[in-house]
Amino acid sequence: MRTTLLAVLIFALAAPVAFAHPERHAFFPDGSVGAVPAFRSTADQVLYVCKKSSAKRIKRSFRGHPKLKRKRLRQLKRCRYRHIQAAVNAAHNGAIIRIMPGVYREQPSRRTPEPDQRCANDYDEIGSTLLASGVAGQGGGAKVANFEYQRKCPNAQNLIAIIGDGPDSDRVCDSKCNLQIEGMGRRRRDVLISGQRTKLNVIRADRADGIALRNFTVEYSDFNNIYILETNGFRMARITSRYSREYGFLSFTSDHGLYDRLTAFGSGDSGIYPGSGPEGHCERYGIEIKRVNSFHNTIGYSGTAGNGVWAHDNRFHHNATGMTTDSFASGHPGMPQDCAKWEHNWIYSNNEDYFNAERDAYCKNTPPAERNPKIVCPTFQVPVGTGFGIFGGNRDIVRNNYLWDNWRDGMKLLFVPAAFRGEPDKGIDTSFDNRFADNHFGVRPDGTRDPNGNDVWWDEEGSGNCWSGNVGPANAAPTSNVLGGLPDCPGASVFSPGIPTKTSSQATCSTWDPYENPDPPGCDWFTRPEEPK
Amino acid sequence: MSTFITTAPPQTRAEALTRRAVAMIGIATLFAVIVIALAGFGGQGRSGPLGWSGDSELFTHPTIPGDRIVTGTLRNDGTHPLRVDIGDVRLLADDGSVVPSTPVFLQTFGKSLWAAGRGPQQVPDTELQRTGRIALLTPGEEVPLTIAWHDKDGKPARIDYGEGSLPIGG
Repeated sequence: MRTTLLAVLIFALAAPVAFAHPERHAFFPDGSVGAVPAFRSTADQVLYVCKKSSAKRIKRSFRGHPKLKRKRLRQLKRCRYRHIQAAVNAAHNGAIIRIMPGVYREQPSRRTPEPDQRCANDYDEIGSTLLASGVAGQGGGAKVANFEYQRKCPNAQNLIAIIGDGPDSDRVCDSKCNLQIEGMGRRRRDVLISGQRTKLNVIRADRADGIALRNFTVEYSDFNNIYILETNGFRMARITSRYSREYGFLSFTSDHGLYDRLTAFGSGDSGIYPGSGPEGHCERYGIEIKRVNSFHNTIGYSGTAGNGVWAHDNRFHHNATGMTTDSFASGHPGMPQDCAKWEHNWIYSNNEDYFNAERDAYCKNTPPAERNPKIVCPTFQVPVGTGFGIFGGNRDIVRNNYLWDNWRDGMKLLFVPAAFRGEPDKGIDTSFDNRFADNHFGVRPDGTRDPNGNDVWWDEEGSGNCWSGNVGPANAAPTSNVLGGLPDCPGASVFSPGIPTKTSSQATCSTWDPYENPDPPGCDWFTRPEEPK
Repeated sequence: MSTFITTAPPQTRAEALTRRAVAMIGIATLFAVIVIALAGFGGQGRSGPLGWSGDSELFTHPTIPGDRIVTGTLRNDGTHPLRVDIGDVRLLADDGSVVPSTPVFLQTFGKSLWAAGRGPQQVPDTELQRTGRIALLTPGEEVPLTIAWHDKDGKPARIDYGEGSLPIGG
């Protein structure tokens, strides 16, 4: 008996460590159909969720707005659910779920074990052993919960699970499609959905085509506060995400999406993450990101294989690094990253020092469950003081942005060999044909000079990368680490392998490990640069 | 052929001269083979199957004057597949002491799938290879290597990888 209990305990402790960021085998939805859902005011089925305190909160929040207050109190009488998950379970396609002011901790979901033995066989295996010849062998991979796991055990990893597809093999939403879930407070903070880091994801929309979320605050996931996966058509608006251990808002292999007026802070990785974006191949942008305010995260915005994204009129500031997109990871559909467009964004003051000795010691010596969740412990390494980094990308457009007060580099462009995502046969397929035009470096939108340490850092690899119309303070040319100057558009047609002393000066940053190797030799990323004069 | 390997004494002076010439050619050939092998595996202080493919570069980090980096491409010149774990790669000074360093089988930055502290107990080989933690090299295959160290920690002369070593400059 004691042995059995010990085995269960070891499994329970070990399992959450084993199933994390790597994604299951995921696939893009059919991008030729679908659309961003519109918010609706009526539906055949409208479900209300509330707490005992909702009436009191409504009266307090809507003080000074008597008409709205009366309306909410009338709506409150229709409340039949205490937990959001219960309303989701009862919802049919097209339902609207209205959440009355209150704090939602979803206690029934929390009681669901993870891993759930009912789904013990529902895992994908990623990676494998390698034979001496270098050929992949059998077994030796890592387990990642697959879609069947989510369908059969929806609350094992998720506080609120919206699972749209059935047991068929078409990967298309059957039920829980076109749901609208909205907070009914006057402000987004009136409805708080709190994970308290008991589940990987607070809200998971999985093959939940047409999902629309708005007007609430979500906090304390162990991984993603909001996670949208293999979903065709999604919309997130007026939502605040805070203190996720890794990601605030994350979409993956999804299409026809909109991030709108989101606020994200306190994420150990990124505030927003439009990863494995739509494969529009520069003919369309399948995910739009606008009016996002992302700050005090390790990264404000990141997106491995963040293709087909149009991000504009956002602010990424006071992170360790403002924005990145990359071609690093294996198993992320859509590699290599390409065809994103960033316009009219403000990317500034990204110098948060989350890798200093004091933070290193706290994060190393405090187990995640015992940490103050409001203290950011970086889960990945980034160059502190960087505005925007493209780490392996093609045919991207960076246009009309303001980048200032990033103490290391305003922009960073480097290549990633295909071998690094497990495709060595493809050789070198980044970074090509990226265009940087009409950006403002080292100056605020009001014209005040506020320099970056260096405006553009480039490893000089690739071809077709070009810079035109970019200006620094007083209309001077942007500074760069390129001795011969940055090439004008359309850029060089001849391939350059890059400068080894530049590329390899980044290599040992790969070995960063907050537990074993927090400051690897040959890597300058983790020391915040001095503020430039 | 059997004429030349017999132990019977030569019957004529001509046969004796022929045997001597053949023996000298054989010894010279053997010597040449040894020289070529040494040039391949032990040239410039090298031992074992790995050698630099082309020139390696040794330089001071552009923003950390106290850090040195060596980077280049290694090739398996041996006749068998070779696996090298990054934990077995060390920098050695002339006196054999270890110079603390960070090696990785990469030529630029890359990152792991798993966030810090979240990896599986047994990381798959494919992930270790992808992130430069192991190198699996069939004969003739190449892999990048970058190693950095703090200059104050010593003056490394060699890169040791368990099955052999090679000089830093190549």
